[in-house]
Amino acid sequence: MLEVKHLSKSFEDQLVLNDCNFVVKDSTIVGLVGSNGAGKSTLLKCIQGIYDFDGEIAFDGELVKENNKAKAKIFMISDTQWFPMNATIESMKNFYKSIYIFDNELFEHYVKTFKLDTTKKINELSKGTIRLVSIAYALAIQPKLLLIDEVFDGLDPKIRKIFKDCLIKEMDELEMSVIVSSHALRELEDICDEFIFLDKTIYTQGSVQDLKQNYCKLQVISDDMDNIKLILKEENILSFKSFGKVSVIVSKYNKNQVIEMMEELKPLFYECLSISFEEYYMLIEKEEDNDK
Amino acid sequence: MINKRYFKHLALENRKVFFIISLLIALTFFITNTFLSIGYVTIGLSMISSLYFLTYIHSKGESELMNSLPLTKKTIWKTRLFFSIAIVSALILSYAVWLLILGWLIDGSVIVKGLVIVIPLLLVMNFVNQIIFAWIIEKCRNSVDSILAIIIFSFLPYLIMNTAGYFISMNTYVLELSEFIPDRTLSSMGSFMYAIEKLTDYPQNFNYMTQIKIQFVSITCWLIVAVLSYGNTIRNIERRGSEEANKKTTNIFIFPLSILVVTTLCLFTTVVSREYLLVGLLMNMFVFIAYMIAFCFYTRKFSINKKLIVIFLGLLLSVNIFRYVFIQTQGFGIEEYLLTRWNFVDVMIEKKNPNTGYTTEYWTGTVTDPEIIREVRLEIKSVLNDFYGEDGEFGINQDTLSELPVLTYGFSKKSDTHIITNLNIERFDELVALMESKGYKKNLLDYRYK
Repeated sequence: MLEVKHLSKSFEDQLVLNDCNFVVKDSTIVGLVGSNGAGKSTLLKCIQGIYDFDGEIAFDGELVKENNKAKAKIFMISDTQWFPMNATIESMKNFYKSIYIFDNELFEHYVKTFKLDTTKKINELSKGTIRLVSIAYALAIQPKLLLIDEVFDGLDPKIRKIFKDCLIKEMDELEMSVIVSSHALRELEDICDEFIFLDKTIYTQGSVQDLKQNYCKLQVISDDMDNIKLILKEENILSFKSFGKVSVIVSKYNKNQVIEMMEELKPLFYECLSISFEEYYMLIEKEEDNDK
Repeated sequence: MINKRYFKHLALENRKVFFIISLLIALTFFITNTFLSIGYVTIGLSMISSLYFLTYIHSKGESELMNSLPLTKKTIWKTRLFFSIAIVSALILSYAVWLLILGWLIDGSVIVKGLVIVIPLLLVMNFVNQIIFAWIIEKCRNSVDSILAIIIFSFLPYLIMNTAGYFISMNTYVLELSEFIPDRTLSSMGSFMYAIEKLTDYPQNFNYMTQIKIQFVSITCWLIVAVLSYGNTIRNIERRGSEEANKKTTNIFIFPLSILVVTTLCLFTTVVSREYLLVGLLMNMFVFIAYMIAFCFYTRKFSINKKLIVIFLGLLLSVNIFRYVFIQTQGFGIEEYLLTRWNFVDVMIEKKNPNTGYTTEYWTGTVTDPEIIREVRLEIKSVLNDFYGEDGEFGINQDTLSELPVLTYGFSKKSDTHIITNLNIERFDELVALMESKGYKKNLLDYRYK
C-alpha cells in the first residue's frame, strides 16, 4: 500500500504540489488525472524518489526517500524516458539486470509480443516503440508499484489493447498496484479502479462510480423550464443546454434526488442519465476554476 | 559503499573504450618517451573520465534514470566516482606494463626505478584530481559550467601566482614570489607533476628520500584537500535532486566568483605606468570586453546592465589603489624588512645584451665579505629610490643546484633614449670593481645563451 502524507514540492519559488494526501491500495489501478501543469509527473517522480520533497511517502510501511528496499519495489515509466545515446535494448536489459531482480524469460516474452528487435539502438526507435521497450523492462522487473506517466502516449489502438491486457494480467499475478497518468480519460475509465484528481493538491479521489454518483445528467422536455431551474437551484446546476424543446441539465444531485424532484414537477418528459467520465472531469475542472 | 553489481556493469560497458585508450597511451609513450608526458596524459584522462562518469547529475534525463534506481544517491555517485578513478588507474597500470616491456627490450634499470616512483605518484594524482574534479562537478548544475570550472580552477593557481609574481616584479626589486611559494605546488596536479619532474630529473641518481621530502608537504596538503572535498561532495549529493540538472549554476564559489577573480588578475597585469596610459586603457578595455562576454556566457543571455559595469569599475579602481599603496609603501614595507634580515650568500651580477635580452656576462660567488654585503644593500636601496618602473632586474633567486639564495642584479640598455642616470651606472661599475677586487671573477656565459 502506498501512503502519501502532506506531500509538497516546489521548484525554486514555484509551488507545484501542495499538501497532497492519498492512499493507493494493493492490486489497484489508479488513474492520475489533472490538467497540464497540475503536477502529475512531479507527483510520480516524487513517489519514485527522483525528486526531493517535503512530507512523507511510504510504500508497504517503508519510507521511500533514499530507501533502496522500498525503491526496489517501485518502477516508473516516464513520458520522456531517457536512454544512453548508443544504448540498445539488450544493453539496457543488462543495465537493469545489474540493479533489479529481472525476469529474463518474461522480458523475452514481451520482446516477442511487442515484436522488438533487441539489437537496435533505443534512441533510433519511434516514440511508441520506445514506450513498448520501457513497458517490457517494467514488466520484467515486476515491481509492486508501477508508475506510468502519460500511459497511452505514442501507442496505436492495437498496442493499447495489448498493453492494457498485459497490465491487467500481470497485475493479477503479481498483486501489483499501478498509478497511471493520462489525458486519454476514455482509456483510463476502462482500466482504472480509482481516480485521483490533481491540481497542485488532491481535490478528489475515489472510484469512477462513486465519483459520478453525485452528479446527474437530466434530459427534460417541459413548458416550465424556469421552475425546473428554480427547484434544482442555480448554484447546483453545472451546465444547461437547450436543443429545441429538449434541455440537458447537469446538476450536483444524485439520480434519486433528481427523480424525486421531477416526480413532483411532472414535466412532459424526463430521463436521468449517467455522466461520462470525461464530462465528470470537465465539470470538476470547471468547479475548481470557479472556486479559484 | 559502492554497488558491486553496478560497478561490474560499468566495467563491462566500458571495456572497449578501455582497450582503445590503453593502446593510445602506449602510442603516446612510444612517441614522447618521457615520464612527464604520461603525467599530462593522466591529468587529461582523469579530467575526461570524471566529466564522463559524473556529469550524469547535469543531464535531466540521466539523473532521473539514476535517481529512480533502488540505489541511494550516495551509492550511485560513489560507484561512478570510484569506477572513474579505477578505470584511469587501470590505464596507468597498463602504461606501466608497456614501460616494463620497453625496459625489457632495452636496458631497463632506470625505467624500473622510475616506475617505482612515477606509478604510485600517478595513481595518487589521479585519485586526488578526480576527487577534486568531482567536487567541482557537484557544485555546478550543467556540464558546460563543469568543464569551464574544472579548467578555471586547475589553472587559477598558476594565474594567481604568475600575476602576483608579475605585479611584484613590476613594482618591487627585491621580492621574488617564487622564492616563498613554488607556484606549481599551488594546484594538485602541479604538485604531482613537480614531484615527478624532480624525482626523475636525474634518473641515474635516485635519491628517493631527499626528493620525496621536498614534495611530501604539498602532496599531503592536497590529500587532505581531497578528503575534505570528498566529504563535502558526499554530503551535498545526498540532498541533490534531479530538478537541479541542467540549470544555471548558482554556487557563488564557482560562478560568478571565478569570473571576478580572473578579471581582477587580468586588471593587475594591465596596470602600467603613466607613460603608457593609452596602452593601459586599451588593455583594460579588452579585459572589460572579456569580462562582459564571460558574464553573458554564464547567464546564457546577452545583456549589459549597470550593475556589471559598476562592479568592473569598482575592481579597476581597487586594483589601481592597491598598486599605488603597494608602490608607495615599498611592498607594504616588506622590501625594507627583507633587506635588513636577509643574509646574502651568493651574489650574481649580470649584464644583458640590449638587443636579445640574454645575459652576456656576470659576476658570481659566495659573499662572505661584510663590505660587499653592505655595498649590495646600499646599491639596492639606491636602486629602489631611483628607478621604480624602469628597465632592470634585481632580485633574490634560489640557486637550483645549491638551493641557496642568490642575489641577481640585471641591467639592460634597450635604447639610447633611456634615462641611464637613473640606473646609477657609476654605482654599478663601482660595485663590479669592488667585487673583482675581492676576487670575484667575471664569467662569460656559454655561447648557447648569448
